[in-house]
Amino acid sequence: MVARPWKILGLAVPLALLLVFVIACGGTAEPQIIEKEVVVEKEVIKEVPVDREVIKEVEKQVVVEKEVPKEVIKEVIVEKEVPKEVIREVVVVATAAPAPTAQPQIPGEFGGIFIKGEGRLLSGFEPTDNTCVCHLTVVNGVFSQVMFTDSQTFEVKGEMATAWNASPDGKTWTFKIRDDVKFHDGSPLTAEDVEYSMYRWMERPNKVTATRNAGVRFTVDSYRAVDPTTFEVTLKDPDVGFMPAFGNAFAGIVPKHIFKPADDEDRPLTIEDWKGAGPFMAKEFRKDEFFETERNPDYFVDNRPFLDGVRVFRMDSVSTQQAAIRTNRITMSSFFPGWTKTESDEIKAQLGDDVVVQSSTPAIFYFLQFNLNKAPWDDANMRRAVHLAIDRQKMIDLVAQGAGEISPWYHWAWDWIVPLEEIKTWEGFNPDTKEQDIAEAAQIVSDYTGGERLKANLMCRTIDVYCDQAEIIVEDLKKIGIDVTLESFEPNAGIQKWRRGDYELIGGQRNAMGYDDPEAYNAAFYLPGAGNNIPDWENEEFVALWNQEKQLTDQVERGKILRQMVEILRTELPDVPLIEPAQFIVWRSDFKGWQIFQTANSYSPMRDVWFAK
Amino acid sequence: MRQYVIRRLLLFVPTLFLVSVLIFLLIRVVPGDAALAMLGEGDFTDEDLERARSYLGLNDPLHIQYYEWMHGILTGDLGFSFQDNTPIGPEIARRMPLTMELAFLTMIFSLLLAIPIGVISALKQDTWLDYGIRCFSILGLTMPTFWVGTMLVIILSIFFDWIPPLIYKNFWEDLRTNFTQLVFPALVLGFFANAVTARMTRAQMLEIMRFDYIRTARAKGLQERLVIMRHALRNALLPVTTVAGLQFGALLGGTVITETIFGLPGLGRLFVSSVFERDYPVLQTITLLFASIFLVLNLMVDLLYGWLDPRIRYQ
Repeated sequence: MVARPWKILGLAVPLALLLVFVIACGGTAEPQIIEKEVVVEKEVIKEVPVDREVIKEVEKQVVVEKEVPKEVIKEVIVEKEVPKEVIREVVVVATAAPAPTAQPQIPGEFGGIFIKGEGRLLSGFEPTDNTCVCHLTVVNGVFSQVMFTDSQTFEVKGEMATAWNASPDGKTWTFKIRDDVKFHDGSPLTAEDVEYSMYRWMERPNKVTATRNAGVRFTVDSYRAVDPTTFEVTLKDPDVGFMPAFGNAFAGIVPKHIFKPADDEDRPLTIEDWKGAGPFMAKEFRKDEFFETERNPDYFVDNRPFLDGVRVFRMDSVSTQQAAIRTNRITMSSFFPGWTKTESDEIKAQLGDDVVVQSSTPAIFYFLQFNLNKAPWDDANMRRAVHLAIDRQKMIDLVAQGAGEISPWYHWAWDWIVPLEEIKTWEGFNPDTKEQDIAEAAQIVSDYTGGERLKANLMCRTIDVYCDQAEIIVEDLKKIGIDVTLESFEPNAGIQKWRRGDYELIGGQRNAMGYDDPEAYNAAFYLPGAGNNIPDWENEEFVALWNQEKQLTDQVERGKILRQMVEILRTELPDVPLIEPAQFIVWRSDFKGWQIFQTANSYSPMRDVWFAK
Repeated sequence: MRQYVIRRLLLFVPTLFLVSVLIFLLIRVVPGDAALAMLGEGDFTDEDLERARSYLGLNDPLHIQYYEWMHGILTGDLGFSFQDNTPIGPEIARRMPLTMELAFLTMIFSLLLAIPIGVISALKQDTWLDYGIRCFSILGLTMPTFWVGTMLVIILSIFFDWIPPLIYKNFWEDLRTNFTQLVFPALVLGFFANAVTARMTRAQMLEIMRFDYIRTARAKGLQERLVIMRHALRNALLPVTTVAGLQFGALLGGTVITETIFGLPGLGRLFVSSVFERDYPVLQTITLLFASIFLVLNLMVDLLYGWLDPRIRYQ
């Protein structure tokens, strides 16, 4: 059969109608394989060469009521050049979840500069190195992403992507990228830029790994720009964690024509190279002082951003930030360090309705980790004794000033695995049964030591919260017959000791940034050989469940398997989760449209915020 | 005198060489790892860590690393920061004027206050005035600068609805803004420095006022003002000068907390963050710079001795 244009068009029209139907139904990032909608076209091209198949894109804009101001109907036909006899099989699968790219109507007002105090500014001009939540305000403003994670719903949505889908085997993801996106220097953004950004994110020109790339680094097999507006990623295995990772807040797209020459020359990047496609353009950066951006007049989303610019000042001291908010010098307090409850209460009491205070527990867990290669912590029963003895409620009251939650093994946002309320009834977590827990723990220790008191060593890094928690652990373990010597180390030296395995017990923070899905999180902390599995904990059943779980897309089914994995962690206790303190952020009440992020991995797009005049 | 200065300047070379070796080795002896700091808290394996160490040149033999650093210093290339890959030279050049200015202002506030009150305290020994001045000095010593600085910022914001401008301006760009930005941190630091200098001045004055030549000066009918200014104070200032010189040196790197509270991008802040981040090139370079400044300051203090006490002659 010879491919002819009218035949292609004949196929394209029903396809376009199908696409409209899918758009109208809305979509999610999950690959939804709809078997009935599978259209299979088999083409065998014989002898007669076909020079090209022409693409036609028909774009229609339909204004529909108020909630959905714009819908885009697209008719897409694959362009293929066939220079000689080819036998080709084309499988068209309707799995797509095209994203409505139209902006919600926001009654924003134009003008004003958003000013923020922050504990850290940039870690240099390598975008992938700026992986602190405190970097997001400027980095996300300058570099747009293909996908992003909604800071409230955790839904992965398209930023520059207009549509995306997975192949039936779930291994190949295809992203359709807007064709009207321009970098700040005026050059068009194409799939080649996405491809190069992916290369920088995963492999790095200098071969020094980037952080926060765990979700893609170990799952992606290959990636390529199919054409200027189509980007394709092939995974090693079907992996439900890929999309949240690809949509995390650290996946900005950089211009290949600027970054590649710099990489080839091994030239350090400068602010001049920061030509992203985001709503704000980099203007000035002074290390330890400030970073300033200004409105991008050619931003690809109409009537955005509202702000004239964003200016972030380095302000380590919360007292200074308080003074700056009080005097209206800054709009918002820092993400790092987040304010405590007392600090935000103080400013709320002074300024009343002039400020807004919101809190969240953005995926920062505190854990106690055992060295499983050292006695008695190679004994799961002794680890259970420690788990039972720790008074988490006291920790929340003293360390987090009463504002926080107990920490299960997984972030609270993944409560579809085990609801937090249920975990609170489990042994060790339940404050109502603490006395019984302590008695049982003391018995376990006594049985182990034959009635002797045990000596142990607990290491903490000299960060206030870590050492405060460690003091409570020392106190709690004393009650069950373990005399703990607390040793504090300067942070970097402490990490070095930990990674060398030169510790017995260590308390600290587990930063869940970069692990947008339990699959990536488990891979990073609990699989054999994982970078953060320092004690080399290994459980075959856990690994088997992980392999099974990551290929599922149904959340209910995943939840069942992940629950089994939690049960393994709960029994084996390779580590003991402690608490998740709440983080408070304060902003002037004339600043509108912003909400505190619920995980450190998502962000609130700065393009949609404004000042009420 | 000229020979003395030249000899001292020549001695700088071996001294700085020894200092550079010491700095280089000490930084590497301290527990911690620059590659770990670079990789942060991300997900990386031991192989990644090793690759990062190799990329930073930390796997090279120590003598090679030292040679490369010194070669860069001597050829005017201070290298790049491990942490953010920015060139070190321009960063130090940008921060140096602020740090120097803050140290100068602090010393001016400190000396303008400390010397008069030290002298008055000595002359009015064991009176209420003396007790008051000594209390004031002890307060300066006992109240940490971070607390005084924080209190000052809070008071300014609550009672005057004002804090210093956020964007730092050099004095040649905007003298007024520059002064408003530096005056409060200088006062905070000066309050502390004043305490040491005032007590030193008082102690020296008390000692000198008991010397025979002071009695002789009075006996020959000199006015009390001349006795104090010409005969007592000038001699009392010798150890005060030494202390002031050391204080100035300490202020170059020791103002980090005050810089943090007032949001000033000085060298102290860069120095401390490079310690935490194990940013060896920055750390080494700043330490060598401070060592050089200390050497120059010491030379200046020694030369000042000769001016203050004509009996001191250098050969």
